[in-house]
Amino acid sequence: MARVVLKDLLKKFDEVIAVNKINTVIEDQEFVVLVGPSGCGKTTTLRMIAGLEEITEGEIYIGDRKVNDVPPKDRDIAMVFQNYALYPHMNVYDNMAFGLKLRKTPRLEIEKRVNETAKILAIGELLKRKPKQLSGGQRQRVALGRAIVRNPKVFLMDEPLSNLDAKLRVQMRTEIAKLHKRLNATIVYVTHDQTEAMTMADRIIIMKDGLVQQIGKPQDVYDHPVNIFVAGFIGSPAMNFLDVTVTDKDTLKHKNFEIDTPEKIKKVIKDNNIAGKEVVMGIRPEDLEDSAFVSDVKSSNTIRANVEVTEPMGSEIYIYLDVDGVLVTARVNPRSQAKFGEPLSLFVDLDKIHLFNKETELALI
Amino acid sequence: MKEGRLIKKFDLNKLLIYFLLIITAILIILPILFIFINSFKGIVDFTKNVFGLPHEIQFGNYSVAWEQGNFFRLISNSLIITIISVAALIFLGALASYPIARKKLFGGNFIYVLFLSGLMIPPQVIAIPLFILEKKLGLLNTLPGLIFVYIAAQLPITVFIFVGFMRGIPVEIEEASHIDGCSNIGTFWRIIFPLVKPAIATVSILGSLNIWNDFFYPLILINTKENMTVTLGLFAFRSFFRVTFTNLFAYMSSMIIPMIILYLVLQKFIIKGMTAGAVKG
Repeated sequence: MARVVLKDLLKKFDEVIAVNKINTVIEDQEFVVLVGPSGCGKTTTLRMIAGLEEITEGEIYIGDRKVNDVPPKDRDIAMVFQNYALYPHMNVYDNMAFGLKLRKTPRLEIEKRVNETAKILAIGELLKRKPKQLSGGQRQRVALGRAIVRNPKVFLMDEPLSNLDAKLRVQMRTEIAKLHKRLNATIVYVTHDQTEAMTMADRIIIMKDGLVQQIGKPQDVYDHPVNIFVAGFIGSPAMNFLDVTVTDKDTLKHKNFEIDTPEKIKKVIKDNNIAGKEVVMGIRPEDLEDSAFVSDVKSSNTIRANVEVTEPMGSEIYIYLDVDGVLVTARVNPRSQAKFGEPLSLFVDLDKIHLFNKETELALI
Repeated sequence: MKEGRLIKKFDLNKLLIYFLLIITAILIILPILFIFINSFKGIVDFTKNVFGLPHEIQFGNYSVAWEQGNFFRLISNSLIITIISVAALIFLGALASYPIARKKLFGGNFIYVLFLSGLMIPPQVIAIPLFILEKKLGLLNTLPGLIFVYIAAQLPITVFIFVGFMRGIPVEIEEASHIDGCSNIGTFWRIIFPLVKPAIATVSILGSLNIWNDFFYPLILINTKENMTVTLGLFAFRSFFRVTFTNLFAYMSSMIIPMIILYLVLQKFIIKGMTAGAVKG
């Protein structure tokens, strides 16, 4: 295993900058997820690490070796593709053994490694089958097996679960996480699904328009997003954003409500000198609750709005409310009596409020 | 009601399609059947009863056709020319198509168009320069002389089929092989070439048919009896001897057998090759 270093990594397609000066170190045995919306440059970054895409500027190191000009076959990496990319004319065994055969590994050693890997992935029964005779989940396992069997320094995974159905995706998610622990592998994983990023990663790299927005542990990124984009991208349902004005009394005033602020926000207001200015208030859906289930309800910690939609999920209810034209989502107690079209009083957990600069969109807290 | 009408309309369409297919099949099969049946008739039987079954089955026509028409020598010439040309076409065509289809090649499209433009050149236009060229190269009247011409003449359609098919192969398969440890050549031989089997089958059957049935090139490039192809032999067989149609039919029936066998062996790949190239190319 080895660490991967990306230094000022830049990729241009003609005049379009796809990846803009990425700098990061992926530590040995770390599971790093590159996440972001379509076109953010995450797959291009992965492909540059793999050697499938030329680097415009910058440097990539795998271990201690600079690999800018090293062809993919000599980088000692393995890649799992979104569409599996199994060789259709070979059976499962040959698919898995192909890379080892090319590296002139002795036949008995190949047999041993393929069989061991097949056992780990529970595909021992499928070794004689061709890819077209396998289900999506089985193909995914074979693709993983083909990577594992080579025992590479770094695993690269490009949205490997996005072609699977929801149930299988959850199952494979845990299996990949287990595999990471078992193999002690360095894994770089690309996805657009923030749930996958949150559940599997040791660290997340969030990208947008070719730029890294934030790098951090999943919970840190969730709790302390650096800007509005990250705050809105990480978390499902997404964080709510409302334009508010900071008053001289350090309250947050909106057309529909005026709420108090805790000490830490008062300090932020003072440090940034934003009294009297407009800011963006962010609050996660789980930090809003139907006031009927909270004892400490005051006008200074509630928002009142009309219910637009309710989605009972069993263990909770998602309520969508219209706050002066902005749809606000709340995850509330499943016994809430909120009804479509009726006003609802929502309790706001003031300690969980996020504030963002309206112009720069950067977090103030 | 509406659904019922839809089903009825669908059936009518199907009926029409089947009707047209049957008519086409009859138009193609009937002359072959006519040749085949009449090859077993005596000449008297044939003149009296052209369209009916033979009154007495006679194999004599075949022995005349094979002996007097020098059939086995000519069919082996045709087989040698066809097999070597088609093998070379597959090898060269696939190799030429791979970079055109899969690599970001400078001028790749221009080269492709250049290949395709070869489809538009009728053989008659190049007959005289070709004759002079072959004469200067000492290839006139030789089998290699014909083989070279066939490879050049069939390469455009071969490249067209291969490029269309190769473009349909997901690029990730190729990338996976590079990561697994293959070079460009390795990826071509181990991954791409086995995956274009249907295209190979299509090229084999199309190339073989075109080369086997060709009359024009042997007519202008071959003038010795020993090096004639089977189609030119048929022409000579008709001219050298008094035309006995039943003998001629026996000769024709014998010369189409290799092509029928080839088609039966490869037919399951043909449709796949045609559609894959057409849709994804």
